[in-house]
Amino acid sequence: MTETSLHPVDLALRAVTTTFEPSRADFELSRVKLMDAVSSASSPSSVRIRIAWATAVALLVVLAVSLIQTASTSPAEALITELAEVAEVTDPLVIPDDLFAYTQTEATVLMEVDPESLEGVEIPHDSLAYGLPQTRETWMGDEGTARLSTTYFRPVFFSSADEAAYYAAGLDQRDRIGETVTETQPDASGVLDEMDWPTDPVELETRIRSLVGDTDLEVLETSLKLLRETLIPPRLRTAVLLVIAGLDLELVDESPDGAGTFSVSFESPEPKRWTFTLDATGYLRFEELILVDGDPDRGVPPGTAEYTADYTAPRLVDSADLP
Amino acid sequence: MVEPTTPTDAEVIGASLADPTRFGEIFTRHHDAVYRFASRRVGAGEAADITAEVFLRALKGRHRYHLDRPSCLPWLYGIGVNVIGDHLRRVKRRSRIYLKAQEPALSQDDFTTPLVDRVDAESAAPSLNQALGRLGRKDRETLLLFAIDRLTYSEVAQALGVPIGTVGSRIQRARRKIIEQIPDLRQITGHGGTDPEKESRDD
Repeated sequence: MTETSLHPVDLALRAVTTTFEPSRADFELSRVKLMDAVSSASSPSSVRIRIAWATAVALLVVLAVSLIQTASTSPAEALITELAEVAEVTDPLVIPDDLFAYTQTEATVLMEVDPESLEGVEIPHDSLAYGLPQTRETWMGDEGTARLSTTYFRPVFFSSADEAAYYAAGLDQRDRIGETVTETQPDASGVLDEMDWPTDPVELETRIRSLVGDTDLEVLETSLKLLRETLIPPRLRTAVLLVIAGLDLELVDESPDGAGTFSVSFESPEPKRWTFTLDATGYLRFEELILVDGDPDRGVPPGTAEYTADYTAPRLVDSADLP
Repeated sequence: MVEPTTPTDAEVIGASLADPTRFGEIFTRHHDAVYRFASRRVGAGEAADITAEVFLRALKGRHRYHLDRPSCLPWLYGIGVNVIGDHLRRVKRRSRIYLKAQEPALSQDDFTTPLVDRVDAESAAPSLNQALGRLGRKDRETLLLFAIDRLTYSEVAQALGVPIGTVGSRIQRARRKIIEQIPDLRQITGHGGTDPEKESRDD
């Protein structure tokens, strides 16, 4: 692409941006810092490998690796790995012909509306953001057919101006606030059916990174999507948990109710913080995705949840309970 | 006699897993590019520290590098986006570009951008930077990697760890929002712009 065929925005950006050249001192400053870190990374054990007797050193390395692995395993990783082992031997959920697996989710989702959709109503930000609380009940049949019943509640606003704009634009009608919407989906297996997910954790992580996205946040997002699935097979649940265990997680709460649940959080460079709770059989019980810095463009204050949800464990119910 | 070939970045990074000193070659190859990348966002005063941090994080995370990607510069830029994001949050500044008006400097772009475009566009610089600041962070970083760092769509996708289609949609959205805020930009730069549908994704 030539300069003159560039988009005017790109051209303008290139024209006004300053680029500085590094000095020799800049180069040396960075080089010294890096070489210090390189020295630390070159562990004494790796030097010994080259010079010591092969058998003796091999034993030392095995011992050292064991010690390092033990020492470097975080509490969150240890708990999730343990849970993965339990999940593998947990009986899969089987839905008999005449029954349904019932789950309930109470969630609040951060919504965004473009100014164009506000029909001329002025807002103080680039777009209108608000939290939409909702309760969703799901009845899932043995072949993935599901009845969904969702009730939408009064939104949570970040300013009175946002609230006034929301109602002036009639968005409460669009969001069907106060109504319960029932629908039937012939196939609600969602992300599970998108592809044949490997049950080997290494292959699974590779597949997610190559198909969905290579950041840890994207790996976690896809993993949690899989965990949310009611009919996820035990071996896949185990693999998903092991993938999650390999992420940089922090244990924030362990078994506060004595029921074997624990919560972990993941800090993303985005910056977002994802906290989720798993029960003793590896089911997702709670999750919350926090926008650490908020989003000033949308008037969203720091610490706002982009998504928060409480899930009940699936239980079998009769068709008579269907709405 | 067969000439020795220069190992690719991926080969050097692969070798550095066993011998971390090999990572110094990556530093020597890409230090200047990463410094320039940082200087376009934070200026000369902070670019050296940012550059050092990028290479420290790269060293620490080199085991996660995709060894099927010969050049590691997009990967380093991706780390740079995060390092600068962390830095700006610490000093409570929003991500922008470093304008010519902020400090006199020798610029590479001085020699590649037609003079008439440069002078006219510089008059729009403050509003352009303001418009950039109003973009969502992901859209802004995607556009900057393409427009001022001159990565291709696929390299931007590698840098940010997103699908290539996402890169395209983010760039189009960011450009549209900037044009909405500065409608005169097309006249200022003297170009009608390219048809997004016809624009080559990888130059």
